[in-house]
Amino acid sequence: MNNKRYDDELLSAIIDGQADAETVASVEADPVASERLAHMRQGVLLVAEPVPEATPERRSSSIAAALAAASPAPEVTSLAAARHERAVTRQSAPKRAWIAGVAAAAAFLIAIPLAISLTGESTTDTVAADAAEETSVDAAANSDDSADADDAMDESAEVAESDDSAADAEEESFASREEVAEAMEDDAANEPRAQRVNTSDLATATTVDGIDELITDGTITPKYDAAAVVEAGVLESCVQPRDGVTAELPYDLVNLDSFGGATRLILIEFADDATTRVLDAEDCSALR
Amino acid sequence: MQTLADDEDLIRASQNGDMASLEILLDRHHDRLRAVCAKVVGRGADADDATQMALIAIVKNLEKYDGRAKFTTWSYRIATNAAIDELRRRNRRSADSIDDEDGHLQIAAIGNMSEAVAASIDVNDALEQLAEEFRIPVILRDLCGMDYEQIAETLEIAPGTVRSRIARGRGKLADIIGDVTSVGNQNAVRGVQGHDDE
Repeated sequence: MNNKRYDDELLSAIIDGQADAETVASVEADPVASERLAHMRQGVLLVAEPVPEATPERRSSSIAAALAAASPAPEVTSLAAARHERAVTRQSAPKRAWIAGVAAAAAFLIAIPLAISLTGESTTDTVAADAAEETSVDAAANSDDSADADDAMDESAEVAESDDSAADAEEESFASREEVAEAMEDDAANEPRAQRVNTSDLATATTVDGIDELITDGTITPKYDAAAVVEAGVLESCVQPRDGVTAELPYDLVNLDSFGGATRLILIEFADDATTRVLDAEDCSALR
Repeated sequence: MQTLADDEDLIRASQNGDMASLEILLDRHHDRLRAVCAKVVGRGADADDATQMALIAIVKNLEKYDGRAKFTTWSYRIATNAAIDELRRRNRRSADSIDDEDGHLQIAAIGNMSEAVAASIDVNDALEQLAEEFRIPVILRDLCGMDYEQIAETLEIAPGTVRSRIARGRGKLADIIGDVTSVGNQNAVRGVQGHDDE
């Protein structure tokens, strides 16, 4: 209902105290306009009505979540960084063994002629024999190719030193293998989870709600609901998942953090040892 | 006697990593920000979600706050955006966003108009009938008490546009109130007639 003489903009200006007294008086003298003005004032009062307060728990949890977002989170790991780290570990572990072997051979090639030139042949033989004697048992025990200790005794210092170096290299190689095995174990623990939420799945999530759809169709599903996360005090920088999403699947909590610039998929993983890791997956800003 | 630190002190301390000050700051402004969120998104749970997102956004952006705008204005802007985000998310998320439980206007019996209106109109429902572009300026003006310039700055629109949108938003609310009171009057008349018939 609009009064032709007094449009809503003028009536609104009266409400805001921006009209002169004469205008106000003329509006109030007009029954239609004054009724309209009265309705508008009622609307202002309605909008200004106080809202019911949040429950103390909800209030506290909101503030706690914000404070958590302010704190540096040492457990936060970038999946991209973690993948890169793993890739480097995989590549560098065998490479380290190879490098150690080459280094040992090079050291030998340098050390033996040097020893010959410094001490003479007989001494060298003694040294070489001693070295061979000391290392031959180990060499025999460790090497299928040179299993016989006598043969090792007859071998030149080159063989002894070589075996010794090879043993070092072998040791280095074993250490690397352990590292690799460890990394593989880590991968075994992490990779299947990472694969379950792969970026091609995320690519279908063109909106924030797309993530919700992925959650809904079971591609990704958080394990804990918002309240549980708040209680655990691990909200970190994520926002709460949607209500009612409590089924179990790869990650314990999945959600998007749409603040602070980039939009990121947040994966919270509750580890068995009661620690919590927040995995910040690839920047999903392109998904928006 | 312990004196309460003002916002500027708290902000400065918070920017320097003082978590206690940050907590006081957030606690102090929580209700105010939640009120905006509640009016924008309409429903309690969503309002709390939006408020939380607003608080998180404030914390994350506090470092950039340079004091040129008042903290209240700055934080209203963030809360408004958080609430709009939440609202859009909700609207996209569900076709079932209109729940019938409390999603209809309750028609009051006749009586004193202001009391009847206050009792009969769910403000959230009424606000939901306003397009977002009108609702937000109205809320910022009539709930937050921001002036046109501040609203213009917050919403990044011209002050003249703010004025116009507020007027249209208020006009729409006036229509709703007018309809409700009109129906209330008719019901009352019917009630009186019913009594007469008996």
